[in-house]
Amino acid sequence: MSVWEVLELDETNDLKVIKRAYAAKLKTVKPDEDPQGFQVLHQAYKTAQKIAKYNNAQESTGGIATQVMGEITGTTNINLHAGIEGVSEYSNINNAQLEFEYARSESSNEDYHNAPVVEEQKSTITDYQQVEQQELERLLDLVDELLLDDYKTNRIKNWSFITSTPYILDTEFNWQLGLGILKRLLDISNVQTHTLNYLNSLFNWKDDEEYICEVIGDEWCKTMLLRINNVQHKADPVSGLRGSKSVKKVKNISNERLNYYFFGSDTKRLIALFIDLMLLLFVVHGLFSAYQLVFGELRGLEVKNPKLILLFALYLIYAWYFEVSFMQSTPGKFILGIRVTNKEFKKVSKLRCFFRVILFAVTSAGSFLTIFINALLGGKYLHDRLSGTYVIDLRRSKKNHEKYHPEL
Amino acid sequence: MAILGIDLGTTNCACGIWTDGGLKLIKNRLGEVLTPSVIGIDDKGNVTVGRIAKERLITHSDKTVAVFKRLMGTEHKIKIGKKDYTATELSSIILKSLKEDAENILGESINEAVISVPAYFNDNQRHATKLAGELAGFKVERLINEPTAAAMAYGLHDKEEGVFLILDMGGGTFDVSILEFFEGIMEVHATSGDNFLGGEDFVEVMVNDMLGELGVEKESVNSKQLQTIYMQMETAKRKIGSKDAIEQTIQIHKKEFQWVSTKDWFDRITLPLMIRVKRPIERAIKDAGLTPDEIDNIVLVGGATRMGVFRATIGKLFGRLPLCHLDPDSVVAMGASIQAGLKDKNAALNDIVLTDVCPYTLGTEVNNPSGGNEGGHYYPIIERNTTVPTSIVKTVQTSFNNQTELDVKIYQGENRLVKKNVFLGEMTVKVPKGPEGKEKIDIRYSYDMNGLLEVDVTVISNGKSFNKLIEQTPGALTDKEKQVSLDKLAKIKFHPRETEENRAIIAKGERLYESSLSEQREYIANILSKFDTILERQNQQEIKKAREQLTKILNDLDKEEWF
Repeated sequence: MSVWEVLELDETNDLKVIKRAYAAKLKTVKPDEDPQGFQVLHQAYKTAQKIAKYNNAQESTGGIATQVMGEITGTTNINLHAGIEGVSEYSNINNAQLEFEYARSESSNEDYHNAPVVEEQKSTITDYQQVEQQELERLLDLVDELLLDDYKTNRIKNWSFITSTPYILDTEFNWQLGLGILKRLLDISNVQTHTLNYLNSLFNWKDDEEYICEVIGDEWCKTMLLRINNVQHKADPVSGLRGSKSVKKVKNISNERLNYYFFGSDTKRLIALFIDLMLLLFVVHGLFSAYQLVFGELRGLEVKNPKLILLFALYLIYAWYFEVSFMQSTPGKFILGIRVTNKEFKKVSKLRCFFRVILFAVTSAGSFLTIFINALLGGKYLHDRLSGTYVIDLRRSKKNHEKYHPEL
Repeated sequence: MAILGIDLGTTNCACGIWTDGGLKLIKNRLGEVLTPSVIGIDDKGNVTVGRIAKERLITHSDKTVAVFKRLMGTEHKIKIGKKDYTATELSSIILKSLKEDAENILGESINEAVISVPAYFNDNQRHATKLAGELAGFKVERLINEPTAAAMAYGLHDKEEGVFLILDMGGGTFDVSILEFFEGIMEVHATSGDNFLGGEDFVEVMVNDMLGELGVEKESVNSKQLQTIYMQMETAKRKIGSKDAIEQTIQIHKKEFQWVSTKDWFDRITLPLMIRVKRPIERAIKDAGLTPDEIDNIVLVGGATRMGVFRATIGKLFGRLPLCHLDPDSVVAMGASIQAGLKDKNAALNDIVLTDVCPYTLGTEVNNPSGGNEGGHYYPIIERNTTVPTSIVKTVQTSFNNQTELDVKIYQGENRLVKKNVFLGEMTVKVPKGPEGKEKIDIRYSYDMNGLLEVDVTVISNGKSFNKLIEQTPGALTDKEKQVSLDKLAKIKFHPRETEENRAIIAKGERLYESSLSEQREYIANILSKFDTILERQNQQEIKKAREQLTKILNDLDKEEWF
């Protein structure tokens, strides 16, 4: 069925007719009574509107577009579809604070054929831009002055001159000013986190992190923005609560990823291994003693060192069992705040952990050589690397995170 | 039987019904349309709701709680008195009290309700709201987005066609909706918002900045004084539009500070909040495919839009004055009541149809689409601002050889990585073994008019299907847990209605007693004890007269403006 059949309408470019037909039809196909029928109808309505708009644009803008091209050189950003409404587009531009970037760029480019109105508009816009530019320079001069003094820089009150400019809510102005300030901040060393947090609340650098760093092209940019604690994105719902004795969070569902992770250090991992082996040694001894109590001496065992082999085998099972559990690490590692994760810093899957354990067994066969190699690998050991797992120092990472993201 | 339309707000609640005579807002037991969303427990263990509880917020702050709507859909337990409550349970207590008020006025029992939620509420929060209604004894078949409700009230009131931009800033949330009204159709084009931006944040900023200036650690202030400071700043916030400077005496520890809130100061410290206001507006306009001048009317809803700084900013952004001729505090309740009338198939509303959109993108987790077995990527299924009800199918396939299970995780949000989106639930689907990519499943997301999501998964090769109304959401309850909640709430006793007015005035007297000093304090104690004696004599006529007198005296003494 074509969209026109759904709307029970002859093909038309008249948007009002389409709207009316849709409205009439909608009263018989109500969304809460016939969801499927409604979906079809709504789709038809939207499509019909698109077709009509496109056709209208084809008819009416063809001429205008060429005219615009002819008159102004250097404007590349002509939006054919927006040009239909003509003069009404301008109703607001007199209020020079008109905000929306796209609205401004469209209106400054199109419809220049409408000579008298346009001339006036054009001058308003350029005047406005000039004033804006001057204001921008004035503010950035003040910023330069402020940044000379470390102490003053980190007193938020001293930044209040930014908030009093009338253009701060203007998208383009806000972006330019923010960019200018961030560039300057990168050149000095002593900016404190609370100052960055405050400025970010005015310029939202954090939202366009990647883009802004690309524009600035400074490798320190990302490092600096990492320090910003973007409160909005993880606003604590409890913060607004009034009254009540206490609030407890029953389950901690936030499995938030930190910005930096530290790998478990060699020392810590060695200590962890030692603790684990000690624990298991008890078990092994216990098992052997129990065996001896019940069955007497071990006899006929071909193997040289049965205890050591049992210990090693048990360790593998033990490591696998605990590392896939909620603890994400063997008890020894757990005590030291170390966790085993996949490359997403999340819990490893059972299969991956199995590989990890097997690879550990295989690589440790090289005994001293392996230890030597591992010591040179900067916390990412052979079996970690081969199985695609990380052993991270969660405690240290969290501490570091808190240092840069202090609770407000 | 009428259906109740309820605005369950962060700071205030209101309700109404659609009768044959039109819209009727329902007054609570104190004769007021607005019931503050505050709950308290008194010394006898009875529960109080509304203004009395709000008065007691200062005098008994550990037995009273306010501004808990933001905790809806989370697992937080809030302790008041001796018991722990979730935000859902607290909301249901308020709903229960509204239900009683309405039943009392209408003289019939009411079992069905339409409840409004912020448009930007996510799936968890919507489920929690619905549950709160059910715990209060309502059948909740419809949730309505707050800005949509407000627009309905305006559309129906003004009978004007055109495109409306609705800005709804309540106590805790900010919603933006773009809605077109034509030929009896109300079509929402786009919705966006910020769930953590509301009038309370302005007060929070004021309090924090003031304490910072005075060099006082917030943690060191005791809760009673802190509540008083919040109340004073609330007052200052409300007056700052009409006056340039407000002078207040702030008590911290044993010291008194003279604090002047100036308009410049307020504008400066709230600027970051106003910058946050701007973003959802821009996004909604962009999503709707409009330009700012295609908007015919700008409508302000919610108490916080009364702020001078808010109106000035909106005026600046659009170069014109917004509409606000309906009371911004009760307009959502009016809209919810209209929706209730629609639901009830009321003849007067027969020609009105409402279509809404889904405010967030909903999707699932897939491997990196540009190759590799790296998971964690977001695959949108329903794009944000799609008109609802809608039902969309997307197909995904196994990602490695001999895969036997597919884990369908359900997320909501706009980021390309799932970890930055909100996790809604998951289901595991078993598929026959085969080479990578051979087994395919259809994932169907159906989003209904209430903003609730249902997920169906079908394995294409064997036609097996799995269905899930998301269950593992935080805050969701099993039947057993629901029963426990119901039992707990059944034990709650409200105060007898007749004495409410007396208690409200006493609570106010007690608050004023706490906040005043020396002579005035004695005076208040004096008149309160006189009123107590009159109450004991139980002569209704005399009580009424004394109450009126007392109300007048206390109103004169009260300098705060926080209702």
